[in-house]
Amino acid sequence: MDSMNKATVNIDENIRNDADVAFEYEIQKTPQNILTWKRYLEYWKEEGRVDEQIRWLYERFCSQFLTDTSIWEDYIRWETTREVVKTSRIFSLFQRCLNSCVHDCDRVCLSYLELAIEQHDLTMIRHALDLSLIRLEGGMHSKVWESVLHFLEEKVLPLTQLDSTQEYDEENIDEADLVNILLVKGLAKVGFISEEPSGIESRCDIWSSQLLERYLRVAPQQRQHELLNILAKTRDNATIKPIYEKYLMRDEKREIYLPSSKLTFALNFNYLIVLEKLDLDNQYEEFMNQMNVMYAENWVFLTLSLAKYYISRGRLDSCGDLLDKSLRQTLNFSDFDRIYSFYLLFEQQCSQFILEKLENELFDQRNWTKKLEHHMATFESLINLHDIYLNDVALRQDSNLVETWMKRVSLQKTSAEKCHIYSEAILKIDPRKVTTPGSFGRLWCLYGDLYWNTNATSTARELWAQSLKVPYPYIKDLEEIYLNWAERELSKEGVERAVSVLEDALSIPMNPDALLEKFNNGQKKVPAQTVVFNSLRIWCKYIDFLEAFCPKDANSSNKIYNKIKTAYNNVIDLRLITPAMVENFALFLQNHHEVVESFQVYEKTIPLFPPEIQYELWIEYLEVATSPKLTLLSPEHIRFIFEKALESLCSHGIDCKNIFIAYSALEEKVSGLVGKSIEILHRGAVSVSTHLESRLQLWGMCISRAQSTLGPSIARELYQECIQVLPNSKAVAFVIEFSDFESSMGEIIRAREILTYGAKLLPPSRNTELWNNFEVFELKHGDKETYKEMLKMKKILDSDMVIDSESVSQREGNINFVAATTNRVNSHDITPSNATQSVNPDEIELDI
Amino acid sequence: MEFISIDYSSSDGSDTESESVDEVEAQVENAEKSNIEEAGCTDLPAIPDSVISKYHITPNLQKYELQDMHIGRFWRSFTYFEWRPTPAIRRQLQQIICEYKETFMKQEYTNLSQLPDFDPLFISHLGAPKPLHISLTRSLLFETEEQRQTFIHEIHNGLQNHRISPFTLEICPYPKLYISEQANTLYLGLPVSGRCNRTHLSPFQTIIGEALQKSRIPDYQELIVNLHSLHISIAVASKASQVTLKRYQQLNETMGALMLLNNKSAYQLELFVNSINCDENRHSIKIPFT
Repeated sequence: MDSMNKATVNIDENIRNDADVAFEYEIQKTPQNILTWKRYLEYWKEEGRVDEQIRWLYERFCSQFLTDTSIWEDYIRWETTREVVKTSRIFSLFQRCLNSCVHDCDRVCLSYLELAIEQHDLTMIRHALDLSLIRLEGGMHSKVWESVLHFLEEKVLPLTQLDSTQEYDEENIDEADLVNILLVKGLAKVGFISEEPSGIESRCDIWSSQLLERYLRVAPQQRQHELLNILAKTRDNATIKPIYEKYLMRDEKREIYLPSSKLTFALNFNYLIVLEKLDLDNQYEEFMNQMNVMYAENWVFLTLSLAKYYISRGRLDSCGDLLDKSLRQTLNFSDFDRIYSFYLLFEQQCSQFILEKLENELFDQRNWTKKLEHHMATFESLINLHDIYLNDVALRQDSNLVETWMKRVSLQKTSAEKCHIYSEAILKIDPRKVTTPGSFGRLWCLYGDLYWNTNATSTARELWAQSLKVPYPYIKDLEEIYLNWAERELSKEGVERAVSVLEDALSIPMNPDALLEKFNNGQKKVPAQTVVFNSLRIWCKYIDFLEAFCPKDANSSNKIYNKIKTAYNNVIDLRLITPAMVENFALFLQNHHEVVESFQVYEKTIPLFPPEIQYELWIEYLEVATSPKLTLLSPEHIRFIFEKALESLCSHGIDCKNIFIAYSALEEKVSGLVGKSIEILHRGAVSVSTHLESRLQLWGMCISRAQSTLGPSIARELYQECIQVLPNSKAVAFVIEFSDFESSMGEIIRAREILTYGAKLLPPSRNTELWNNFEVFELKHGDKETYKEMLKMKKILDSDMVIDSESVSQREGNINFVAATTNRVNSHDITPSNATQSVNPDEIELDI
Repeated sequence: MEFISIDYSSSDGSDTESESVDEVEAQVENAEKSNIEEAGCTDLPAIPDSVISKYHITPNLQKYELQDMHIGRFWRSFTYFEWRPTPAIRRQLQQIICEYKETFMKQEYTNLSQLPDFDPLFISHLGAPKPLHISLTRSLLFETEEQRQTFIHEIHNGLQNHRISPFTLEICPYPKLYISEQANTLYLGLPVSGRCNRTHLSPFQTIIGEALQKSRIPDYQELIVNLHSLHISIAVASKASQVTLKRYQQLNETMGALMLLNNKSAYQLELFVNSINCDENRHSIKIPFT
């Protein structure tokens, strides 16, 4: 009505020309014709009428079409394009529009809200939201809420979070400062200090909290948790508490709320914070207890929160107790580090704070001095015991790790403290769960050593005797104990006591094999005591002790001497003997004039070892057996030993060149039978087990000896056999020697034939030495003809005996590792050697 | 004359090391010498009882050697008062053993070959001190672990119900021989004073009897050591011949009387008892009196 009156009042001023009159006439005549209104407005805008005149016309237009949002929109749009925009006017237009219009308000609502948000006008935003929720259909509500929420999160909540007057921001503040703030708060609460910490009341965001409260009523289920989390950021604890409680479990009996598993940890924790801020201490502590039960994995975080809560309440003793208890419960180093660091900081800050206050003020000095002393002592203790605490963690992780206990012992200063740790370790360690063989036994040894080194030998013995009752899964533990004990007894009481300790371990049961089998298959359930008799380490130490104290002239009437023999024999029977022990045993017997018995040792033990070791032992045995200083065995006996050695070793493919040579030398020396000596060398040369280089050496020795002692016929036979059985490449050298031998005997034709034979064994390019010899031979013994023949043969062989690797490759399609082949196309005039064909046709010539 | 059954558990039967009397004496002397030395160093704590109790019994190797590990398995226990003699008492005990042998030797009809070697039970052949004990039961075999648990639990209850409190037990200084004929073993023991039997020990008979009964052990009375037979074995002679055993059997009473007449070994041993021990698996459970 006001606008209408205004229109009537201003009509004379605004109607200026005929066109205006015509438009006025037209709208009077057909007021419902929107087109006329629009054309009228357009005319005025083109005419450049002042804003007040156009606004006057828009007002009349809107009055005419009060419920038409498009006209309102047009008006608002025009208004926003003015040079001077008055937002209050626009807001008013939006409100008038939405108050008048019922339908098609979507765009207007959203625009209104958008403008309100743009202007950061909290009242307008709420107004726009309210109107929008009334005017818009349900489907559009979420869009409206989203805009508001977005603004709330982006613009409003950060203002609250960054407000410097706000209470501490735990995420951003330095922890030392935080503890200090909490101390101020807490100690003010208990009356140690008088002033209020900040003097400014904490602020909260009521605007946001109330909006969120409304939205939570209608928000979709899946967004509830997110909204609750945003709500918590408003810090409007009085509002937050009842809202959160709708989602929590209620204990009707105790009339308290408990954490809900349907909420996340963070949301439950938000409620905890609310309880703390509202000073609902009983509820806080109960809720915290339940949180600890429900979220065991977050216990460190919760513990530190509770600690901070205690500080903020001035309950410093409770905080210390909590941190101390928690420190002793940590199961990993990360948790330990977090709690330890905070504990240390707490004690440090407490000490500093109380000290400062005591210096400046006089508040119950005596009581607080005591507290200061306590905090300083705890701080110092925390620093001093850091390694012990760390060790505690390691032990809580695995109390059966002996190394951790050893480390703990090393952290103790006095022997008495070390004793306590050792006994604690023994009580806590389950021997079957120890993973490092020997470590638990070592621990017992060291425990006993503490007493032993202070001359409390009887106690040490009692401990070690006790340690032998532990069902160790590993023999190494018992070895450690027995050996350590014996060493100690040796140094203190002498060899007899040391030996008797070791004998306690080495008593062989009736059925050792059965026990060994049971132990090996027992999966740690059979104690190592069952097989300790089988410990090579203990046997070695036992024998070492005995040998060290055995008189040089001892014989079978001597107790120690007999014990040594029995020990060695037991070691052999148990098949624990090593090659070194065989040597030692044999040497021991030899030193005590029991050489023949030492032979039995060799014979008994050699088969127990692999062939390579057997060879070494046979060599040693033969050396002893053939040594005139040690023994005077009959030739038959020595031959028997050699034959046995060769039989045993050759059957295992061992190269026995040295044995053949020694045997041959011995035969010649003992019996003077050169033929037999050469025959032994020949046996070695043709033995399949002898390596090629050894065979060459044996053939060389064999032929050379035959040449010098048995005459040409035997030498010829040997040469022929040698050339036939050796590979071509190796036979050539013997061919040259054979030829030289024949020519020295004046057998020129035979010598030439031999060279001819040798020439065919290899291609001339690889047979240079022979051809050089052949040439010298012909120059010395031949004539023109024979020389020509030689050259002719060389030429033929040169062309025929080429290794055609190219054709081989082509035939195979690729390059393979194949046996050497020679082209024998024109071999009709060269008789192929039977020897080269028969001996090792697949020989691979590696002329390195 | 006292006879003890084959399953008599009052000593470690695995100690078969044969040493001459002189050697044993020397060994004890050595150990005592060490103990005298030890007396000077007081900074190290004694070995805790818990450590000794945890590994009380040596693994039974015969079990693995002779029979299948899973056949014929029983749950064993054994009830006794444990006593860890001090070095001074160990010396006294050694003295008693020596005097007994001395008296024995003085008998006209005895020759050296009939005197077996007595190994002291309070020190091992390796010179380690060992605890002694007064057996209250013979070796107990339970068919199930639960039965044994019941037994130990009932001992606990019985001690509480009878309000047993610590007491001092008097030990006779005159040794007696206790013969295990089946095991060919002789034990030299010190009997518990008869006065104590009546005053302190009779409730234990009841407690143990009830515990055995509740754990459903048949003929349990036979498993409880008679009050008049209670003793502490201090030495053992293993593998004694039948002839020797018979000879000792005849001499036992005479020897006691002779020693009494000679007024030797008048050293009155007293044992302060504040707990009862029950073996369970490898460890010994010490049940203290309230």
